[in-house]
Amino acid sequence: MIASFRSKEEVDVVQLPRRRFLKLSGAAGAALGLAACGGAPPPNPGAGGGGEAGSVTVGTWGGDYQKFLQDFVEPALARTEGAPTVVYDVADQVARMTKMRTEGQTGGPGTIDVTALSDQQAQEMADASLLARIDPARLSNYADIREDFRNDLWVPHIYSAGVIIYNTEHVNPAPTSYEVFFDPAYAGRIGIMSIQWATEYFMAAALEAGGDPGNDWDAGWQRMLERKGTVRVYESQEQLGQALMSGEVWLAFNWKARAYQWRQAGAPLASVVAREGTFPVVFTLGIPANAPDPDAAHAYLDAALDPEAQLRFAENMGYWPTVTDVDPSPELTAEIGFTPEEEQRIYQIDLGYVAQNNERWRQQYVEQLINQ
Amino acid sequence: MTLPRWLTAVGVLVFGFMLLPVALVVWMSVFDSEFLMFPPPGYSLRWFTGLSRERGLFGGLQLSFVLAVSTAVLSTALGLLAALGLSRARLRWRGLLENGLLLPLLIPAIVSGVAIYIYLYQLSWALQVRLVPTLGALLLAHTTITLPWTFRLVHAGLAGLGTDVERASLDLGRGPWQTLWRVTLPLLRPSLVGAFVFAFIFSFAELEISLFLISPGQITLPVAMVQYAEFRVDPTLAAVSTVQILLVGTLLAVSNRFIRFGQVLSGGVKG
Amino acid sequence: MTFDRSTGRLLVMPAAVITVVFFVAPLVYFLRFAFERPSRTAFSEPVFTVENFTRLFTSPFHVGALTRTVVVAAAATALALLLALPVAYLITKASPRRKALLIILTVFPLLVGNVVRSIGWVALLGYSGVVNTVLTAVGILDTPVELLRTATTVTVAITSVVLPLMVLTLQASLEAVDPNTERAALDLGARPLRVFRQVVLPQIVPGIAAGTSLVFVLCINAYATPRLVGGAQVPMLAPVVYDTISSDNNWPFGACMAAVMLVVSLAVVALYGTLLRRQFEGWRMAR
Repeated sequence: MIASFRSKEEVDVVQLPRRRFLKLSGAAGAALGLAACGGAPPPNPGAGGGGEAGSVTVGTWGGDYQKFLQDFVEPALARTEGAPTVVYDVADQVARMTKMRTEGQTGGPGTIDVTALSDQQAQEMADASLLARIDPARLSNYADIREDFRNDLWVPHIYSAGVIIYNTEHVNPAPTSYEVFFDPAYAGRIGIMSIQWATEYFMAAALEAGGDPGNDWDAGWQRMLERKGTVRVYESQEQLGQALMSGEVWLAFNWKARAYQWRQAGAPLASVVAREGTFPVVFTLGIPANAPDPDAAHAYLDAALDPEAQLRFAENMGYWPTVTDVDPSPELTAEIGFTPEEEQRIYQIDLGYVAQNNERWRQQYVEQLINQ
Repeated sequence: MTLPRWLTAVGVLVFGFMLLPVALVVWMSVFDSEFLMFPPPGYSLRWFTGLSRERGLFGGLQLSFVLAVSTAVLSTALGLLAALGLSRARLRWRGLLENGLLLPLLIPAIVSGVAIYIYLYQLSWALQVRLVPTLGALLLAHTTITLPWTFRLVHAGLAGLGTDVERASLDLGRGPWQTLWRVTLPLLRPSLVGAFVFAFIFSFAELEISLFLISPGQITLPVAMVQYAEFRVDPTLAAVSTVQILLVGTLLAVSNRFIRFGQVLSGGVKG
Repeated sequence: MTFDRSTGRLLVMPAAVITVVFFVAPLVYFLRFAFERPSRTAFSEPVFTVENFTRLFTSPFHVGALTRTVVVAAAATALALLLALPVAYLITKASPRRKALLIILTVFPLLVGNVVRSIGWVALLGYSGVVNTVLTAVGILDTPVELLRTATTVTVAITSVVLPLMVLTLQASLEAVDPNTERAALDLGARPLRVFRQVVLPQIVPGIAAGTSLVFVLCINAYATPRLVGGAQVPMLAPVVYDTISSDNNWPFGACMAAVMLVVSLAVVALYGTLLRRQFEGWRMAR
């Protein structure tokens, strides 16, 4: 299924849409007007030709994420021999995926070498043959990656897991089970996000199953529908965070890292791994199938796994390291990490299954649960 | 003629409503709290002093400013040429052309952004010349979506001018180009300044098209702001907006000394 | 002064070319997907079909979003017109110095980007926002109420975005009204409001038509405001189109919705223009 670097035949195959395109657009006139705007950047013929030598283009979120990549990963990268310079292509995840699909579906040259995505989205890209395989031999830190996170489609950069986040002043006693999200006492005080649905499907299915829901996340859908009217819906992590901090809502199912970030801002929040168990979210770094410079991309991936870079990311962002050769303080572990006992209740999920159902889940979620 | 008092009162209220977002943003920028809460626990200027550390926002401010100025120059120039052609030459398909230039307003910018991106990307591949992402494509796309505004303003300005003065100049023996340069353009100055201001503002605030067309290593201010908001809700964004408002506000106030805005932006959007 | 036809063509050429290359061609290329089938590995599967349209018009969610978008846009346009008229009139009657100031103030809100503006709305109307805080403090409310995420709030928020543009359009129109006609009517003893309705208003009907059409189209196409103020609980078309394309990778269905939006905008504007023109003729006759 998954394409590695493009072979000769594949290049021939992808010529087809190109011809179709020229025919369709009748673009001769348009081409004239455009010659002017090509300007500075060099022509980029075919896959693999493009990027400037010695530079790696990283497609990522902006804001803090980019800042921490610059501050923590780049120093590690600079220590490697012949280190490439780093250029960031900043966009939200959805726009980044759209760009990758456009480049991939056209079969044209790529513009980014490293792409940062959550694991579920990375799986979707891999299923569409848009990710290249990484070569573990080229990553000196590969052996230090936690075994359950190893993968040859991406490297795990940081991770967290879904937890019940609750307001300590209003939610008594402290919740231990997902049942709290269906407790009439908290109706109207529970926040969900329109952009994050898989977590909610998992939660309801885990409650239904009394543990690991396996590959049946639809099992909780009826329960989910009962939540209509008892939940408040937010458009982004930022809006949900604002609501938790202000006391507009008291409960949410979200990553432990987010709970940490919001608590840092001074909100009376705590978090707990539910007794039904939960699943991890891994933010990954992968290499697009048409990356201009896979060598530089591997160097960057390796630097992201550097123990020092991993620890600094954890301290500043609240996500937990994915490598084993770091030694976080016990305080930090309590804030953002997971005890061995909790780790037992963090189930690995079948990303392929999630990727396959994602579109249907999203529509069902937005159209039937959220829409009033 | 004296105006009824209630009318003034209504006007003040509506102005208040219009300026409310501006006032809120400036107010929030000095909140001394990590997240937005009312009433604020105190006031502080720390979000302004902290701005210098925000490379994304800072770089965005620079790129957006340069882009907005270039867009405004290009868009005003193209709008002027088109308006001259359409109002001073008897062209066939005039109605079609006039309305055609307004087309970019008819589709949500987020959709045009994606459409422009995929089209240009496929065209690049077909022509083997990279068109997106490039700064040139970003500039031309901004020009295209501001063109409806600049064209309308200048076109209305030309209509308001009429042709009498020009005819007088021609009768006095000046050639058409000299008339254009010495008579028409100076009289048209208010409309041109207005067009420039509009294009500048719309380019500066443009989010959706830039999202897909910015090149690696570059970011416009609105995109940087959305990205910042993914991870933090502190008043930094309000602070950077306040800087933007002050910056452009000063520019407007200064240019008002040279050209009265009383005449500039009117006509602009005249049918 | 007139240019000959070839000079005229040359003058229009740059603007026309750039609009075609950067807008018309991409749009046509994109809208073509509306008649094709979605595909997992490409933008679309090139078979001619109208099933996207069938799906759109049989899905209550999408029909609801379409209706809501049109209703909200119409309401925001009407509200903007109502609010802009007195302001535009005041600006017209102001002294040159004050007029410049008022116009700069009108332009100011355009400088606040949609993102920050929406954060402002949340700060104002949110659960712990200014309005709720004040109302609970003075005892009008026991607990804060949900002011965001309703179609009404979205309408008000969109109105504030387009209001400056409406004001500028109407002001331009009002500047062209001959003050003598007004003065004459006032001298004859007519009340100011009646003068405005019977003398001024008929003269600015073309300006009103232009302003409302423009603003209506902008409202239909609003993206950031409905997304950030209304959210998914008040689904409107522009955000739905974008999600369909980017989250679901369903370009044909997204293109189909975009095409319907385009047709609705054009149809409403054309129909409305015709009606208004007829009304305008009626007014003229009556005078």
